[in-house]
Amino acid sequence: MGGNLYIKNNYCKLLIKSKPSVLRVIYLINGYMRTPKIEALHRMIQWYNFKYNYNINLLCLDKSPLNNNSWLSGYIDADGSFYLNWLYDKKGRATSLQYYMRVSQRQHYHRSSLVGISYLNIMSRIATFLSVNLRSRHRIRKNNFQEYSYEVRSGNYISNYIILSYLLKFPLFSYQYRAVPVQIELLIKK
Amino acid sequence: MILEHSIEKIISFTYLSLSSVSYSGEIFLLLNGAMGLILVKPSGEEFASYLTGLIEGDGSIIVPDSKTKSYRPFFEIVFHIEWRSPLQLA
Repeated sequence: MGGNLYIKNNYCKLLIKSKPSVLRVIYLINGYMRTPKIEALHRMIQWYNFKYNYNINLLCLDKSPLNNNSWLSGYIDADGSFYLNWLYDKKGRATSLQYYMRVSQRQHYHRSSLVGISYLNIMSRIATFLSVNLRSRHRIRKNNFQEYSYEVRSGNYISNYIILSYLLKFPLFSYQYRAVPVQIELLIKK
Repeated sequence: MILEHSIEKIISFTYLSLSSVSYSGEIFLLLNGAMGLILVKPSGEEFASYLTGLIEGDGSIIVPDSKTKSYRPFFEIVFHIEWRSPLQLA
């Protein structure tokens, strides 16, 4: 795919800057976008079409079912987390293990977009896919920064079953993939 | 056996001491009653859609405005250092 990897103290960054690599990524992801960020991809394509007189199509949002491809795996690797918490009774004794996957996203895209700026549609689709409710969150961060986000949690047996089955078919590739077999074992033991 | 067919595509292997679960398929490999987890490089549509999800979640698509001549559009994906494995796909 190309690109340069920069490793810093506690993070690493992949920069894809060369023209052949950027074009390769454009051709790879064009047609698979599902969020308002498609606006940025379309701007990039228009930049190349204008500058080099190319004719790359601006493909629209992918409306296919989420379990059709690995898009959700990539999205979870980026914005999702897996949790494993002990639940305690009033005396402080551990009673059970709570486990779930959580994926959260801001509510609005920061630029205007032809497909709309709200993440409500895609987050609702993820919630529907997992048969859970979509949560809306409001948090006050440092310097009184107001953060509005949507959150989906696989908080019950059915939703955990759905997401873990999906991740068996379309695996994660980040460090989080280690959580999957642990959660499967907990799901089976229940 | 998946190891024989895809040895070049394997990204990493993790041994997990879970003895009560057994799976077959591309992800899980049964090893004497314990379980190992292997990651195999995806290909074709699977890689393209995974990469799209990754960019839509944690990526940036930077496009200069019409007046800027100093740089071309580029992609940037940032990860915590322990999450490097997706970048190995690149």
